Amino acid sequence: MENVLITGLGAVTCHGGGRHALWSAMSGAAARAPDAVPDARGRMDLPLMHLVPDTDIPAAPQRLADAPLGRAPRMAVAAAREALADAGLEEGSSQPAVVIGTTMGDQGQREADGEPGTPVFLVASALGDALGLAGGHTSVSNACAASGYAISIAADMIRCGEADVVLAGGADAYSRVALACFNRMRAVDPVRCRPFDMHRSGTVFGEGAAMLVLESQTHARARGARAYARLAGEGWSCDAHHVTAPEPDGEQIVRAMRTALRRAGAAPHTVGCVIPHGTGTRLNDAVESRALNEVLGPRCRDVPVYSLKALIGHTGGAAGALAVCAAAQILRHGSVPANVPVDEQDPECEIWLPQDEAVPPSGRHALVNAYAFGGNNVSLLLEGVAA
Amino acid sequence: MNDLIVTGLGVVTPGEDARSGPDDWFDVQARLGPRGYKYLPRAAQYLLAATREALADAGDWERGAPPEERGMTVGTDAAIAGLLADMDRAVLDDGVDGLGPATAPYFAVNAIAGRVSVEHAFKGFGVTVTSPRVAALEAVQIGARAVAAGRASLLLAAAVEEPADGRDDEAGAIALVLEPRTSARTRGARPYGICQAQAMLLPPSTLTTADGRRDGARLITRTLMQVCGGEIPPVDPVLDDSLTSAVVIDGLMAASAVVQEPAGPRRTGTGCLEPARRLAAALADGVERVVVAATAEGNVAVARVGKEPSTC
Repeated sequence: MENVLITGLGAVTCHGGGRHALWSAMSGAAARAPDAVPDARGRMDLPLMHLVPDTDIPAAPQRLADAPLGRAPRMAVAAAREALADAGLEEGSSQPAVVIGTTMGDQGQREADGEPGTPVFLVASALGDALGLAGGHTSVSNACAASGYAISIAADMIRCGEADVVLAGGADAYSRVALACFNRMRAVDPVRCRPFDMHRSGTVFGEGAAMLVLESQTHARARGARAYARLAGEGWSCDAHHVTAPEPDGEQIVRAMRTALRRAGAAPHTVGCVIPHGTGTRLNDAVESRALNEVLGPRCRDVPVYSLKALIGHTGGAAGALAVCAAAQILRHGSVPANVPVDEQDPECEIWLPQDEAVPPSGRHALVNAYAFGGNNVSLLLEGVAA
Repeated sequence: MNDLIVTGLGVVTPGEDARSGPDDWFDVQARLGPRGYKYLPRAAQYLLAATREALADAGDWERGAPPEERGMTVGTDAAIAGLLADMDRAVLDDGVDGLGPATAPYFAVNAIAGRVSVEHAFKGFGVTVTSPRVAALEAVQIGARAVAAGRASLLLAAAVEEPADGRDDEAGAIALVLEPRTSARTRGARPYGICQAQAMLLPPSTLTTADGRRDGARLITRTLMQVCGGEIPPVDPVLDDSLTSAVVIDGLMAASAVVQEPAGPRRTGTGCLEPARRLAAALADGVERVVVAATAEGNVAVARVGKEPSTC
């Protein structure tokens, strides 16, 4: 079966545009306080979110067919252009397929326009139009696991011979309704996004986008492309337990992780770092910590976990892709950065979050988890490749 | 190749439901039962009802498909459009206290499918796809690929819509149960036919030149050939007045396809129920058909319904 390589990365986060800005923020454990959303009409107690600076969002594209386009599709386009350039694929020189995950699509723009009930899922189409990409095309809306699924679907497309190159990732921006619903569910932390912290009380959303160039090994070798990592295996599962609450014993997220390992032909002891879903919500972090211990065994305490959402917030449909983008850079640099400091780690979350200094990965694989409302789980296993 | 065979159909739309009047065509208690469903979003109710119908139609589908082997793909464009509009209005008028706690989780569209997965223990996977107009066909494609990749052995592929503008012709849900031919044969399932789909984008910005339109039409022709093999069954188009649709027609003509243009004005909008309805109708009628859908945003999909011998 064809190997799938990650040959290009693009990212946009609250720390600015570009994969280098993300890595720089990771390396500096550069925690920042959430922003207050500039939406005076959004009446909620905790209008907190990590916003992408306006200067890091391009002005185009502005429309698709009759629909005005907002921040999410523009961030996706910026990340895609960066990923293509990083992969050495000039715009217009190839026709990658496109698979994009998003929770809210362009809902924020509809709310700003006063048309909140019109269709919103135009991120993928807008990106494909902006870059002139004709061919295979998918929009995935699996909430906070959407871009993790998008990347996995893209890998399946390459493995089954449907595509040689796929642009895959995700994007989400501020939506008044989404943030209000999290306020209504009392799932917003008033301080900051504090995954695995004893005093965590919810998450803090973040805007963001990440796009990856996934490429068959054959195609990449033929053009002499350098890869960040091999996407070695992915596992899918569904809790089928509750619309929002995780299955308390974590059976299905354990299954997703083990499936990713099995499909990669990897063993738990080769996992050298983990980027967890880790949102800061009380039950989710505890369940995921227990599941990691179950999958990795006693060695779990020696596997560094990098808690990305403490740095950039919970970027919704972009979260999985940003985590893969971070994991690919960890493997490229051979270094797991120190986490944003955790004030007091929850004893219910028995995982190793390196605090003061970067550490090397303890194995050749990086495991990424992304979970979502609806019980949708995906785990992705990346394998480092020789430079 | 081990094609997926459709073994169950569930159609819950105003035109199909004779249990109530046209003004209130969906009776939640009659369809789903007296308790536990009343306060769900309408789209979740539709999808639950269509799923029940499709699974019942498939017979003893649970045999050979334990929960971890059940996958589900759902296509939609506007399943929560009305809900989002109502929620936004509530936040603007009354703040977050105006939001109902039971419906708040449904701001994420995949929660609709999540509710169904709980009901029927679909633990293999759940994927919601949302490309304008073509999401239902996209759901068939994504689901089939996932089954081929070994992520499940039974697939529920569905479409659900509940547009905010109150258009009943785009409200409802349609569900298909699909299984690999070998599984269907083993349990003696009744086969409706085979079903394959392929979704793509024709970027509207590339269709403004003659060369772009020619390339787009060629892509359509090529895709049609890939999906259909040698002989192209009659084509049932779900098109609008966009340039995308015009290029699709050029591609169909170049392939010498026989296009069954339905009477009446061309449809507009981005809902995915109509392509699903055409697919389900061809399966129910046991006819070979190609359903082609396109929209101004550039999304296009081609799906083929083929016959299967009367016994699997």
